[in-house]
Amino acid sequence: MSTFIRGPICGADNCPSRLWRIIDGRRTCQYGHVMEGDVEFNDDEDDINRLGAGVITRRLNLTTNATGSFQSTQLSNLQLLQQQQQQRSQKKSKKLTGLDAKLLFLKSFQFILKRQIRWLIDEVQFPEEFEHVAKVIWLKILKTINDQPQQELVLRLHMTSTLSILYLASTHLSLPVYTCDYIRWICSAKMPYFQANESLPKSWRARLPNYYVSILEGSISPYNGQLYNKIALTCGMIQFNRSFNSQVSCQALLLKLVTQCTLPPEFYFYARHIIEFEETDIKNLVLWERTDERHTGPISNHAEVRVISYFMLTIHWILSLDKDRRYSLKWILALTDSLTRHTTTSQSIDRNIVNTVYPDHPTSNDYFQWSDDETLQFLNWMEKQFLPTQAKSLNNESSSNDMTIDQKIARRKLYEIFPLDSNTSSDGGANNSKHQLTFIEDLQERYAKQQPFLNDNKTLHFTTRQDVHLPTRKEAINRLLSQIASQLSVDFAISEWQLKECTLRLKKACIHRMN
Amino acid sequence: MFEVPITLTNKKFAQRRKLKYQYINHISKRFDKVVKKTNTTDSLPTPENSAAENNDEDYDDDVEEQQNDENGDCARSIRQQTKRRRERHWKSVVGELYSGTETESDSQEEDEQEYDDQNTRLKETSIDEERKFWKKYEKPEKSFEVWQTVSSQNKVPINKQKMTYHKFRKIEKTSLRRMEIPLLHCTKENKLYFQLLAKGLEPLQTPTSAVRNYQARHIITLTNLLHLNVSRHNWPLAYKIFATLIRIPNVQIKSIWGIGVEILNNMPNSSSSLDFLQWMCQIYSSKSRFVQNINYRSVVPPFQTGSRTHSAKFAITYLWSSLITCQESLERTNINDKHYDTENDSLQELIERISDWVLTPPFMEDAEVWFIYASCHLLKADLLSRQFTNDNKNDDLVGLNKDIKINQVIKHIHYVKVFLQTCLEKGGFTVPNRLIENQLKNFESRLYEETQDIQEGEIVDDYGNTDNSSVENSFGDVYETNAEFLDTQLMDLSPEDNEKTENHYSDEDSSE
Repeated sequence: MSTFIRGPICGADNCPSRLWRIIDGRRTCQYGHVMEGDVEFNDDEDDINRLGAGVITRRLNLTTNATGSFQSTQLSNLQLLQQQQQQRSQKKSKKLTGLDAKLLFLKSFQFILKRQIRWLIDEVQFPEEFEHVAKVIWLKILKTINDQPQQELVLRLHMTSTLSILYLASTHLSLPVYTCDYIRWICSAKMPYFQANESLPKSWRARLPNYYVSILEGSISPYNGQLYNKIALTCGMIQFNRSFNSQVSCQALLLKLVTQCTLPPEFYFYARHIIEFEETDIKNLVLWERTDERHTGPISNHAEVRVISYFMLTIHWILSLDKDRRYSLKWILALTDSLTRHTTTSQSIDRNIVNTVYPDHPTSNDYFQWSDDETLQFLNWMEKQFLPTQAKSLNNESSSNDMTIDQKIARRKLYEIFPLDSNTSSDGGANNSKHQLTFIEDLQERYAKQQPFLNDNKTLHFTTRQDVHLPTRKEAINRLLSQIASQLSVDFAISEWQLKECTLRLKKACIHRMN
Repeated sequence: MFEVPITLTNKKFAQRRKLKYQYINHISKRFDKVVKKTNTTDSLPTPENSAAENNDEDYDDDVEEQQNDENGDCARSIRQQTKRRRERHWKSVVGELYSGTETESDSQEEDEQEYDDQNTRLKETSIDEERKFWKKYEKPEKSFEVWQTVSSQNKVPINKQKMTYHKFRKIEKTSLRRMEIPLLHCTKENKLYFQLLAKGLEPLQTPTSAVRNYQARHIITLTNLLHLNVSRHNWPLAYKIFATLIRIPNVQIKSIWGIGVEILNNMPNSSSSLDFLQWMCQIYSSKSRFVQNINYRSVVPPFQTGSRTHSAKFAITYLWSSLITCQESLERTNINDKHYDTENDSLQELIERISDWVLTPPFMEDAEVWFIYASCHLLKADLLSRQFTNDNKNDDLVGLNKDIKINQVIKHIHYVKVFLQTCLEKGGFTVPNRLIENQLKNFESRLYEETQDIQEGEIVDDYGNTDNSSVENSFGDVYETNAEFLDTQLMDLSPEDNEKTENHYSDEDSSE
């Protein structure tokens, strides 16, 4: 008697059976209902030589497709099924455990790190030496791991560790690159970070335990100063300050902040003075080495956050003490407006993307005010940068083994109904004709817009007094500061509260020193 | 902000749900103990019930009352089960055979066993509280996406039980005390969340607002942008967003197909929405089996596919819209003999597709599908019978040829009647029965327009009184009414209309 085969529901007289067997070549269910209209063709050519030797019977093998109905019976299907089973059994045994798994994880981590360094050198024109420095830092980390006893080996590596290694290397080389840049690169999916496990060699991924695979997925972008904490911890791990240049190049950072907010250039010097006053020398701003693994410590320990806070403090003090002499109220209001303005330079698109990634900032819902152009740019980015990282197997179907052939066909049909290309070609053409502003052009334009408010403050003086609807100067400054703070906190992946706290702490320290 | 087409499952949500259902189950248990009154009505709190109640009464002390009602219902069903069990026990003692309710009580027995199992398992305490809760109410294949509107006939008054506040406090207190231990083991956030819910408050934070996952964030953004641009009627952008969204893995197309259809309808030079709907029907067929042990609730938008008893909404939409396109394409063409066969194709195809669903196992048992099936045949009968009136001059239809064509029409008319009957038998779907009967009579009278004197008697015999005045009906009129009834079916009937059709329905029954 043949065994039962799972198939579609019989349904004759509402028979619930799903089990079928073949009796006299007819498919019959568990309770004896014969499937109607089920004909098997034996269209294989009978081998006459074999027939002479003896009758060879071959059972027709039934397989079911995704919807539970029978597929045509072919030998190839059987082979497919066997292959799948083999793969499945192999997969189970393949996963490594213990020390082997950790070694493989280190290898994979290194692989991703190498990809990131390559990208930085090729796309952002980092110097070639960058690779060597990063390598040395990575080796130092490996050494500390190696020094641990093998039984209780703790790796303490996360995807943010890759960023901290890169950051340390760029700090050592005094490159004008800061955490905000790294965060922008990973959030806009330019640098390999999210779904980085997809780029690993297939054999590695198959053997790597799921826990490590999910670490390499990098599913959550660093927030609330996590990246700073990780950098400080990595510093402490390898005693960075002892053998490397750990001075943060804060002049460039200040310049960057000033231009980003389109403040007049004198603000750069004001901020520098304050920093030099408080820290005695600007070179004293160095990376913090954290050795305590449990407690993160105050956020103001981190050099970059200090610089940002000093910057905020400068704006606050200068504008408050100015009393409408040089910086008029109108100018402050215009500046606040210009910061919220939406443009479609590549920079602002990147910022839009970063904004959407962080849910607890007030800017995260900015997309409700996006213009059509911005939305389109965002979608273009989605299509070109984001989608390729999401599904490697989007276009080449052979690489996705985890889908059955039915699912692949279904997906292809769906994509035919909703083609992406047809529309993008027309939209892209329209877009290219419109000139996209470069960074310099955009900067010039923004500064040009500030100019009338700065020069004509004498004439504007009277009008501001008369206008009742205008907010008071204090309110305007607060609004400007909160606008800048919300932007900076998103850029540097810290919470607004942390930034506020740090600014307050530094303010107290400054006042204390003044007295 | 909007519903996100991905399943958000993590430890936090699972823990929240577990706490919630643990509490509810315990409260209902306490309630059974405290209130020991017997009740005979067995009605579960359905959306219709509560809606009907909302209409009836003003709702002052709603939190407490609602809780009472729910609890009361649970208690009632349980009490009824025990009552029935006792009854059966006595009957078996007396030796009396079960009467007509034998099958029903059999099914009840199963439920009872389930319930008993639950009770025994309760002592083991390692059970899925959520599943236990839902087991009282539903089977998965019967309870997805029921989009019924409130009508007078659905109104069932909830049996309200009065309960003193003191008693309520007592029940609440013990249940809360019971919850203290599980609350010790959960996170601070979830503890707060539970306490909010227990007090009847609703946390403002939606589950999506705190998600930090990179991919999920982008899906949320895209979904919001999609809704935004659809509401702004910015179709090209919406199309692009939709096309991007469906290419991200893990996005469930089942929860956003409606928007996709709307976008395709509004986009010129794109593939038709029918293709998309057809794709949906092919991929998510209603032939899948529901496994009772799987908790379908935990998958975020529950029950989006069809089952044997319910057809999925996209399947219904597909049938209706393809029927309408058929009708529109037929309306546009001049009634030419030569073009008939080609034009018939789409309609014939549709008929075959529906018959595929309805006549092959597992048989679809949705009344609405049967009604659409009947309407297809109605359209077909209309189409075929039109030949007779227009071809008067052609004289093609003579002798055998004519007989064949007449037979075809009669065959389709017969189908319409049979399928309508099945539709009515399945129930749950109101049908403008008399209107259709009139239509059918019209079609028949067309056949015998010339030869009325010969065959009139026959018609009368077969199909009752034929109103001769309606023979004069022009085709435009017929179509108008046809389109009308299609429209009324698409829109939800107002309660008044419902009553009217109900009356028709009863008339029809009495005449038969």
